[in-house]
Amino acid sequence: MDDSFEAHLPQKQHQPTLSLTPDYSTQPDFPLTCQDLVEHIPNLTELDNEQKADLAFMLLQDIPEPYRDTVIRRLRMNRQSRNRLEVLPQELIIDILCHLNVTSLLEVSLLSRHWYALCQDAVIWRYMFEGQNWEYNAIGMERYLAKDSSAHYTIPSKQLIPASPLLLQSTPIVRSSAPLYQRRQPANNINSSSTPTSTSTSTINNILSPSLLTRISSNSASSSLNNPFSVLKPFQTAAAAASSTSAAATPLPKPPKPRKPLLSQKVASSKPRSVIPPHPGHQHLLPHYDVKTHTRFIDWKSLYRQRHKIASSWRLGKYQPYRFRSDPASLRRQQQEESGNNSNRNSHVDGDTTTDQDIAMPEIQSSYLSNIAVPSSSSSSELSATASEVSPESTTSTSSQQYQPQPGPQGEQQPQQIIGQLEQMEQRRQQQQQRDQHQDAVYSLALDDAHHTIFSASRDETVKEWHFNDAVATLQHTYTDLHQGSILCLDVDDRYIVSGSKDRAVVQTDRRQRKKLRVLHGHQGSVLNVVLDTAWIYSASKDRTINIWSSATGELLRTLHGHREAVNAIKVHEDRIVSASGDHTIKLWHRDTGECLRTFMGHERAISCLDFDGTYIVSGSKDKSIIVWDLEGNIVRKIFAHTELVRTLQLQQPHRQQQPLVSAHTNDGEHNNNHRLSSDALMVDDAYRHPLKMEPSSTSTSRVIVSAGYNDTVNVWNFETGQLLHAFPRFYPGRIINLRFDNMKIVLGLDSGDIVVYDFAFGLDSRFLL
Amino acid sequence: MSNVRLLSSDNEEFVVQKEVAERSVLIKNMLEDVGETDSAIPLPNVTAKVLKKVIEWCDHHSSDPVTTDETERRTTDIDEWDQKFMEVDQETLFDIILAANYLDIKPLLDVGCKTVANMIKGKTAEEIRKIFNIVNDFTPEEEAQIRKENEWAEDR
Repeated sequence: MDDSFEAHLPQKQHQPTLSLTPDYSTQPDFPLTCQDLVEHIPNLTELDNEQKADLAFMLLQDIPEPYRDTVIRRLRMNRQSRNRLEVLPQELIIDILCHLNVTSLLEVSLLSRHWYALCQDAVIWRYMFEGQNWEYNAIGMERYLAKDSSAHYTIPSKQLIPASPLLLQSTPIVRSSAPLYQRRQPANNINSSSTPTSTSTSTINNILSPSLLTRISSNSASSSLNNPFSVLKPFQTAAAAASSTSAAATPLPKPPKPRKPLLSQKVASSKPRSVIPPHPGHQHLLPHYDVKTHTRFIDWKSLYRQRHKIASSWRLGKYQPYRFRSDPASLRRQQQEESGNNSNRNSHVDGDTTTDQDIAMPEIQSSYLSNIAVPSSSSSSELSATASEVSPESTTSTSSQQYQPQPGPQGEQQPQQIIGQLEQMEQRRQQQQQRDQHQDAVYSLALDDAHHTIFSASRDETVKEWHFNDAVATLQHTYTDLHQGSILCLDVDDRYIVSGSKDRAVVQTDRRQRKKLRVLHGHQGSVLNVVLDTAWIYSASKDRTINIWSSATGELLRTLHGHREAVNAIKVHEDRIVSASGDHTIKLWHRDTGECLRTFMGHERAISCLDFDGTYIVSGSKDKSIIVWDLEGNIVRKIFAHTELVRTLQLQQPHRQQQPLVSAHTNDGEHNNNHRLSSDALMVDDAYRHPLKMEPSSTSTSRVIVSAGYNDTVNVWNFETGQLLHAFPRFYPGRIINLRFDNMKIVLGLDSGDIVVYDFAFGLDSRFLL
Repeated sequence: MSNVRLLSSDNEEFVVQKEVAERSVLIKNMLEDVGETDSAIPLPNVTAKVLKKVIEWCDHHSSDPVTTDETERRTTDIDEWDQKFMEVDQETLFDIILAANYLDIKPLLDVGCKTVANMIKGKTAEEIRKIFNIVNDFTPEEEAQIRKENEWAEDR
C-alpha cells in the first residue's frame, strides 16, 4: 500500500456507506476533490476494493448529473456481475426466452438464481404452451379466476383479486420470483403454521421483483463497511435466509407430496376441513393459487408441465384404466365380500378400495389403491412411480390375476376412524355407481372435454351423462324417455344431444333443461349414426339414406340417396358430408346441393366406421383394414390394422382454434389451422410418400388414429406415418362397440354395459386442459 | 420522397428517407405529431454507431410489408441477410436490440431476440454462462435440485 496515497485518503471513520443504490441524497461530502485524488494515485491496479469504491464515488460526484445517472443505471443493470446479457431490460430478456424451446429454457434456469426466477415467468410458459398448439379450457379458467364461494380453495373473498388475465401478464416477475427454496418447503407446511421467518421471507420474495429485492437487500447489507459492493450480495443474503428458514428441510428431505385422489374433489371438499384439500399431480404448494396472497392465477408453467406429461404418456403408452361399472359376476362377489367382511373392518377396507376400480384391476393398480387408503404406509413418490408405470407390458404381465381382487398389503395397519369414514363414503359411492350403470351394451359415446363430460347411449334405451374427472365418474343424469328401442348413436354440442335409435327415430334433447325437445321421423330403418353440426342434424340409417334436418326446427331438409346398403357411419366437415356403407363404398356429398361428389372404392368388405377432418377420410372396414383417403379418392395409406373387423375408430382433429377469451394470441390458432388445411390440400400426393409435414414447433403433437375391433386390442396409429404406436390390451370382458378419445383419455363402450376409460392424465391436474 | 434528419446521442446527424425512418414506430409517430419539420429528430438513447446499423437494417427492409404474422414471429428462422447483419459482437447486438426496442421497430427487435435465442439454444448451462459471462451463484445442491425439478421435460 502506498503511504502517500493513504495519507490523502479520507479517514476511516469518515467512510461513507457507499452502496450503489440510487439514493445519493444521504451521501456525506468528501473533503477531497477528484482532482486531488487522481494526482496521488500511482497505480490504479494497486488499490483495494475499498479504495476503488471511494475513488469511483468521487469520480461520480465530480460529473454532471445526467452522466452520473447513466452510470448508475448501467451499474444497476449490471448488478450481479459484468454479465452483459443483463443490460437488456427484463421484458426483452423474457422475449428472448420465449424464442427458446423447453429444453433450452430449463437449461437457462440453471444459470443462476436470477435466471431461474426469470424462467418461471408465466408469459414464457404460456407462449410455449400455445406454440405447441395445445388447447386449454379458457372457460374453465375464467370461471376459476372469477370463482369465490363454491371453490375448492377456501379463500377470503374480499381478498380475491378480480379475474383478469391481463393482470397476470402485467406483473409477470412478481409471481414468478417465487424463490427456489420456497419449493423445498414441505407441501403440508401450508396447513400448519410455518415459522415466522419463513413466512416473511417467502412473502417478501413473492411480492418483490428480483431487482427490488436486490435493492432492499443491498440497503440492509450496506452497513457492512468493508464491502461497499454489497450490491452483489442480495441473492447470497436471500440464500442465507433461505437456508435458515429451510433449516428443517436440510438435507432436503422429500416434501410429502400431495396425496393422490382417493375420493373425488367433491367428496373431499364436503368434509369439514379448514385446510385446502390437496390436489393431485403437482409438487407446488398449490397450483394456480398463491397461498400467501390468496390470489388465484393461472400457473402456465404448471399447465405446460401437466400437458407435456400427458403428451409423454400418450407417446409412451402410459395410462390408467378405469371402468364405470362392474360386471354382474363381480358385483355379486363384491356383495358377498361385503357381507362376509362386515365384522372385519380392515379387510373391508381392502375389499372396498379394490372395488373402487371394480375389481378387474391388475395388481399394480390394486396396490396403488390400497396405498391411497393408507397414505402413510409408503412414500408417495414410490406410489406415483408405481402408478405411472402402468403400461401395457406391466399390466399384461399380471393379466393372469385379472378379475381377482388383490388385497392391499398395508391395509391391516391402519384401523383409523378416518378410514372408517372414507370407507363408508366409498361404499355409498360404490352402491350409487352400481345403480348408475348401464344395464346393457353401450353402443355409442360422446365426449365434451371442456366439461369433463361423457355421454353414453345404450341398448338399455337410456342415455347417461357422466362427469369424469380425477379418476371418478359421477352420473349426472339418465335420460330414460328418449326412445322405444336400443339407442345406437349419439352426438352432442353445447346445447343439444341428438340420438338415433332402432325405433327409427332421431331425438333432439335440450342439454341444459335435460328435456326431450323433438322427435324427428323420416327414416324407414334403424338410425345407425347421427351428427350434430350447429344448424344441422345429419342421420344415417339402415334404410340406405342420409337425412339432413334443421336443428332449429326439426324440419327434414334433404334426403341423400345413393348407397346400396345400410349407411353405417357419417361425418361432416363444413358443407361436406362423408358416409360409409355396407356396400363397401364411401361417398362424399355436398350439403347444400345434395349431390354425391365422389364415391370411394377400395375396401373389400362393409365399412363400419369412419372419420373426416375436411382433408382426409379415415375408414375402418370388415376387411380388417383402415384406409386413409384424400378427397380426390386416392388411397393415401392402407393399414392392415386388426385381426378382425375394425369396429370403431377416431382421427385426432387438427388443432382447433382457441376460444377468444383469455388469449391475446387468439388468431394464432386459427391461422395455423387454415394454413395447415390449405398446405395439406396441396401436398396430398406427397403425403403418400412422405410423412405429412408438421409445424416445426409442434413436435409432440403429431396426430393419431385410435381404432378397435370387437375382441382386439385398442390400437393407436400415427396418422402421419401409419406407424402402430401402441396396442393397448383390453382389461375387461366384453366386446368393444364404440370408442372416443380426446387429449386426456380413450373411452370405450363395451357390450357388457361397461364404459372403460384409459386415462392418460392419470394423477395430473387437468382442470384447465383440453 | 422527403428526407428526415436524425440526431444520435453523440450528436452525429443522419439523413434518411422518410420511408426508411418510418420503420421505427417511434419516429413515425413523432413525424405525425410534429408534421413537416426541418429540425433533426434527437434520439438521445442511440449512439451513432448503433444508429448507423439500425438505419442499414431499415433501409434493407424498407419495402417489407408490415406484418403482424404471429407464426412468423414464432419461428426461429432468420433470413440470410439478417443473419449476416447480426454477425456483430455481443455489445453491438444488445445495443441494436435496445435501440430497436426504444425506436419501436418490432421486426428488428424480433430478429435480435431470435439471434440471442439461437446463441442459447442447444447449449449446456455451462456453455451459456461462458458466452454471456454469467456467474453461477447456485450451490451444487441447489443446482442438482433444479436439475431434478426439470426432469419432467426429459421424455422418459
